[in-house]
Amino acid sequence: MIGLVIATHGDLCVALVKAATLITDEMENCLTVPVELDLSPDMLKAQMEKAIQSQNQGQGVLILTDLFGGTPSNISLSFLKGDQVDVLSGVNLPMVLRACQIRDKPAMTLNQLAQECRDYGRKGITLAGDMLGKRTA
Amino acid sequence: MSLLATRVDQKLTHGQVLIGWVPFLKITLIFVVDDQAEKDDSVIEAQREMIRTGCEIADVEVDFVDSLNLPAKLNKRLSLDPTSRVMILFSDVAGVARAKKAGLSLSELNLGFYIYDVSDESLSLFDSFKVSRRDFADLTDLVKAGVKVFYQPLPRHSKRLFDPKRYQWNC
Repeated sequence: MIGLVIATHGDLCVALVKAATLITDEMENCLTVPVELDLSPDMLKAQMEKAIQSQNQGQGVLILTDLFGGTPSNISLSFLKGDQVDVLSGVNLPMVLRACQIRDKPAMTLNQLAQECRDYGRKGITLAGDMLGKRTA
Repeated sequence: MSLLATRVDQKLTHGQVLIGWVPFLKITLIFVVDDQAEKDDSVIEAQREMIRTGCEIADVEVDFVDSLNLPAKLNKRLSLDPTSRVMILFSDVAGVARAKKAGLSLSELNLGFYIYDVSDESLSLFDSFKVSRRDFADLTDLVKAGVKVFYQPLPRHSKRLFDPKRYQWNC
C-alpha cells in the first residue's frame, strides 16, 4: 500500500482524517503532521522525514498539503524523490477519500495515485450557481 | 517604487507572507535575501524554484539577492520602477545587519518568524522569534540606530515593539 502523509497548517489534517473516517474505513498507513507556528524549519523537516519513513512500505509515500507556498508544502517539497515521495497541494476531503479508495490497488504507482487524487480533488470543486445556469440556459 | 515592509522570516515566502502581507500591502515585488553560503547550488535552485512558483500563484514578482548587494539592487529598482511596491524578506537577523552596514536605509523592521535552535543558548523575544546572542546584539544596534523594530506576524496583529532593555541579555 502506498503511504499517506497529510501535512497542513494547524489541525486541518487531523480534522480531514476524522471526517474521512465518517465516510470510509479507518485509515491505515496514514499519518498527519499538523504544522504549528513555534517549530523551526529544521525541526519540521525532521518531523516530516520521520513521518515519511514510518509510512513508506516500499511503494512510496504521497504527501498531501493544504496550500502551495505555505510552510507544510515548502517543507514537504524538500523530500520530493522520484517514485518514492510526491507532494500534492490543495488537499480536500474528496482527495483524501480517493486516496483511501485506490492506493492499495495492485500495480498502483505513486505517480498514478498522485494524478488520480489531483484530478478527483479538482472535480470535487463545483459551483452550484454554474450548474443552475447550465440547466436554465 | 516604495519600500513598504522589511521583515525577518526564516520561512521566507510562506502563508503569512503570501496570503497575509502581500495582499494587505498590495506588494508587487519581494526581494528575498538569503545568504546561503553553506548550501549547494542544487538545493538553492530547488528552493528558489519553489519560491518562484509560490509567488507566481500569489501574483507577486520575486527577486533573489544577497545582503551585501541588496542596497544597490534596491536603489536601482527604485529609480527604474516608480510603481513597484516592495517588501524585503530576510532569512535571518544577521542578513539585516549586513545589509545595513552595506548601506541599506531602514526605518522599520518587522520580526516575523525566526527560531534560533543551533545551540541551547537562545532567547525567546516573542512567540515565534527566538534569537542568539549575536542576533540580539544586532537587533539592539538597529534600535540604537533609530530603526523601529517590532513583532507582527500578520496584519491583523498589533505591533509589539522590541525593547532590548526588557531582556536579561541587555548590557
